[in-house]
Amino acid sequence: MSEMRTEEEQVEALKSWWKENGRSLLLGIALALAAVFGWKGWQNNQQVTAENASVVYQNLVQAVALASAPQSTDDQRTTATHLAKSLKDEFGDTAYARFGALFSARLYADSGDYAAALGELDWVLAQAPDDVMKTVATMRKARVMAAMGDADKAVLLLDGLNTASFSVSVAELKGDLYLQLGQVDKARDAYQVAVAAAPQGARPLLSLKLDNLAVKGS
Amino acid sequence: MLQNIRDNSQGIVAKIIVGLIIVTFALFGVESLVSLTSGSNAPATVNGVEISEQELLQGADLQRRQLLAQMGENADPTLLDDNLINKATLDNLIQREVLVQSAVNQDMAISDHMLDQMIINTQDFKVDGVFNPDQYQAVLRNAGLTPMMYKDLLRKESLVDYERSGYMLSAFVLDSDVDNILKLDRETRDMAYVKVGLSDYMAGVSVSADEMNAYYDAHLQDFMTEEQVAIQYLLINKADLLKEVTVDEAELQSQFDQLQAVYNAEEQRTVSHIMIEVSDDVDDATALAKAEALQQRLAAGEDFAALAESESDDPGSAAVGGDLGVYQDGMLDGPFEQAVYALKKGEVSAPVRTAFGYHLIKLTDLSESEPPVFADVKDQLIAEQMENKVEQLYVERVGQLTDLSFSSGDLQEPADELALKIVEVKPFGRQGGDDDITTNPRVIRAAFDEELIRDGLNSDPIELDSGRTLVLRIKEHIRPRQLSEDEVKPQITEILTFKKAGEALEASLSTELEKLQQGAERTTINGAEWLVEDAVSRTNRTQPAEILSAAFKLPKPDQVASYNLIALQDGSRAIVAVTAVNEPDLSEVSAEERQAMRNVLGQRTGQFDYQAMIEARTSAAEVERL
Repeated sequence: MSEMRTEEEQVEALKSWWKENGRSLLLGIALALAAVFGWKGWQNNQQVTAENASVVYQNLVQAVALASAPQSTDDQRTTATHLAKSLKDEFGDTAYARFGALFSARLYADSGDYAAALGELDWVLAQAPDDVMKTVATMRKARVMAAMGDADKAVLLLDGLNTASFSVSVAELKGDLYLQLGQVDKARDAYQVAVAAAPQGARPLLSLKLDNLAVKGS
Repeated sequence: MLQNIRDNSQGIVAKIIVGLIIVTFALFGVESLVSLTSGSNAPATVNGVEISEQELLQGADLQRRQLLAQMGENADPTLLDDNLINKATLDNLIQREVLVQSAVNQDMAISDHMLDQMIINTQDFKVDGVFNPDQYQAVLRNAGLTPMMYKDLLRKESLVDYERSGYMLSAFVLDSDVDNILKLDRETRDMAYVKVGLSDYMAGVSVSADEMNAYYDAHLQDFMTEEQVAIQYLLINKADLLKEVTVDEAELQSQFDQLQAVYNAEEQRTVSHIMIEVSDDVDDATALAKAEALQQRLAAGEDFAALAESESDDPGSAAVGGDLGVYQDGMLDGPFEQAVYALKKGEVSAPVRTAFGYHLIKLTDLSESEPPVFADVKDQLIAEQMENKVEQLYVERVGQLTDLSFSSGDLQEPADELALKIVEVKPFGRQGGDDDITTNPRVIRAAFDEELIRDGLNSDPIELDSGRTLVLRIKEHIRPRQLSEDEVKPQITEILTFKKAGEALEASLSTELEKLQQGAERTTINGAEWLVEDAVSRTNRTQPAEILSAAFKLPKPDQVASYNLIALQDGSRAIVAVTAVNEPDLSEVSAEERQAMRNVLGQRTGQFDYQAMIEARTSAAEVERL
């Protein structure tokens, strides 16, 4: 740079540098800005969606608490079902919607509408939920199916579950289903698996179920 | 190579990269790089997210306060185990962080607006039913939180709550579930049992030296002496100091003077009034005229209370004959008060004007009790004086004891200086000794304090109660010692005799059991009769718990009853029989009972699902503890 003595020469050099490089530099900045604001905007959008959904969800939780109380009214049940539906319609791909469907399933099951409950649980399973929710939804689906008289198919559903932390619950449910099918030996085996895997004293009702199937000479 | 770099840096790609870097720094600052490298001393991280030391300290502090509140007013903070509390708090924080991340990973979020709403609606922040910012700040300050921290806490709790209610509240119970459990829960059993004691078998048992030896070798750790300490202490007892103080007659007199001064201020005047209101409707002159008319009626002998009831404009007092109760200084306007003090007992004042209107005031009672007489109160004054002096002396002595015992190597010096006797206590274990001093938790703690044992120091002063303080010193620390076989021979003999007698009894009953299982009749065994009880429920309270539990574990009987042989806590054995299982009639179960069972089962299912969810998330998380 030593040869650029005068100010004019320096300005001239800058100008020519700008002519040569300015366009690509600007492009770089523009790209970066676009990327940053795009990313932020998208995140912001996600956040706003989640926050809006959370408001509906909060209301739903309260509504379900009211609707599932013994002295609930038809109105309260309708409100809860409606809120769950709007979560599904407006925020379909959020976790809130999936919980909403679990709530709906409960409300339907409480009122004895097993087909509708099954529909909600199937919807949850179709949303590619994580392992925990998949296990919970499947177990509940199996119970609804058993209530509809399909205990044998329900058992098959449970065979596909392998989330370790649910092993006790799944085994206990299997026992219940086998018992409903009249397969007492298999039920006993399943309960035994459950008792063996459960922490000592954690499930008194489970022990009750197992003791009930005790046979002489064993 | 430099030339190479120079050439490449002229390229269009390089320029775009430079542009990107410029924007990144401009928007996010240098922190975006710095924060990645700074070290930390977080007590734990969950999937790379730190749990800060501050969070842990605050959580532990809160926990400590809650525990102390539960322990009641005699709570002793030194009894809390800080390590245990810190560990439990950290476990809680880790679990919460795992659950918060679980919610966030599922894109759950909560808006600031909603958090604000929750804060405004929190009962603790309300004064008279309305949110009060000062109250809010005060409550937070008390808990050691800033509004920012509280909001963050609330956000986390809410997120965790979302998932919890999502799993727990959505659990359902089918009618068949209720029926199945009710059927089991309500079933009754016809049962019988026979219980045979060990005593007949004890005499026939002999224990050989080899058996004793083998048992001793296998259970060495059971035969240790207890760890004990022998302590000595110096006790300052307020009650003992009483004989060191004397009564000062001059001071008694000044106490008495004070008492008299207080007495004078304690004259009590009970007053009633009749009020004639001056208002927009009634002008001053009319009211005065009415008041004067009333005054004349009173003078003519009419009853004040009756007149107050019918004529007074003060509805509160009118109902009770104008009674205002005991008059207290400054209760009403100056003129009213002057009138009250001018009255003699039973007198009625002339009309008195106040801000309300005209009053006729009657002094219904003036408590002019006798002034105190020195002879009467002397004993009381002496007791007061003594107590004050003893308290002073006690505080002084405790201070001296503290200084002396801190600076001297044993208790002798403080004992001489303070003319105290060194009390020696016979050795006791961690459960404490047999008087109220050696069973005091603080004394036990100090007596087993490792530092005091190791260095032979005097303890800090220990305040037993408001009147007793002691300093102790460990005279001897008796470590646990292995007992020799000879020393424990009687013990081992007893254990083995008991065991062998049990085995013999069990063998004999096993034969009986087999016969019974093959259909033999239930007859007396070793002279013991069968006790029969029909229709026993699970909640039965009259049957022994061990027998009842065994009966409900038995298989259902067929042509032959079900039997089992069990060992009871006291060493005896019992054969339990179930002769019939009676299914309950579910139509007799009321709707309320059904609902109660439904609630229990719903909570159970929801709880298990949620717990399994927590377990799944925790085991998937990468948790590092410092």
